[in-house]
Amino acid sequence: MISEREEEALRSALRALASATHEAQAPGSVENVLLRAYRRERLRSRGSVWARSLAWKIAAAIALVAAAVSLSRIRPEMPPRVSRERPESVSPAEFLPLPVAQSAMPLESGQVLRMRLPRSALTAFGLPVDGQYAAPVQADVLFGEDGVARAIRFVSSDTRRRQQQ
Amino acid sequence: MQTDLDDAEDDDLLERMLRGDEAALLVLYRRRQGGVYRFALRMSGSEAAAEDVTQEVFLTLMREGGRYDRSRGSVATYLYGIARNHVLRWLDRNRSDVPLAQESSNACPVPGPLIASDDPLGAVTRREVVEAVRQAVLALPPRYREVIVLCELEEMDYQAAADVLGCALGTVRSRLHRARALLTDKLRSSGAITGWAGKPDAARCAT
Repeated sequence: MISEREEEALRSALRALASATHEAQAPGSVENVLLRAYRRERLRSRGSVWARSLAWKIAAAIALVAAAVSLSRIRPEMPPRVSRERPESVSPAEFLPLPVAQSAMPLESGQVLRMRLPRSALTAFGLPVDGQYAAPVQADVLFGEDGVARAIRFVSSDTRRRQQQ
Repeated sequence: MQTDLDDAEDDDLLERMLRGDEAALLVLYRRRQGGVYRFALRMSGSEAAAEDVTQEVFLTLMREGGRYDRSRGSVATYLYGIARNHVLRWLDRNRSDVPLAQESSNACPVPGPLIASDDPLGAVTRREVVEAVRQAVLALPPRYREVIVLCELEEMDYQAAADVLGCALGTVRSRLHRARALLTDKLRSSGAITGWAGKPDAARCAT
């Protein structure tokens, strides 16, 4: 059983002890150790983030290369990509070679795209221009596998009618 | 920027620290290290242990601070909780080495009877009283010692102490009651608290 007097004495004694150690602090060396550890940890976590990001990039690059390789392998079996306006058959005789085509790789396969060109393009190929019409002309451009335009064929209204029939 | 951090809540500082803000770590450390260090010192009676525990507490905070759950208490009580685990582990390892004398240079041997009422209250006597109480606290079993340290020496409220100890409020009250009784017995037997009642100012001035 604790008397009131003893209880008060105990409180006083505990206050004295609390007061005696009230200013106690960890030495400065602890702060230095913690700062060093914190910086080390941050560097490590940054490094691991960078490594993860690099791994993802490498994986993505490998996947792209693999996709490209597999696409190039199956390409001969794929149906030629044609635009809706593409003529069903192209007669090479109607095409006019473009100057850049002479220095390009030999043409093995290609793609014909129908385009709208300014009417002045006709004069560049020595074709007569009907001055009454300012509208652009349509042309089929033959592109090689390397993406270089090889030849051009101007589409007259007669040709269009024939194709539509 | 530094002023912003000085005014920031512990929770914000912790969040910033975990995102890589070194300044936030420094502010949080400087704000809380004293309490953690004193808790460890008063529990272990060893400055070296208190230093190690303080370091470990903040290293743990760096590694596992993301586990902090504000619904279970404040950052301060979370830190005391980590400190408690480290201190208990240290006490367990050093069970055979019961601290009997303070390591610091102002240590003094356990005194004989301290009758302070008619004493001129010299500095030596005050130090002796403080040392007697310190030894009595260190001689308590850890579960009683920790409530005395938290509630009496750190002046933590009972709920916060319950958060640190991970127990119910009633448990803190009952342990504190028992701890005071044990402490009084120890000090009564040594005569250390005789005549101290009614002289709190003298005790507070003790260095």
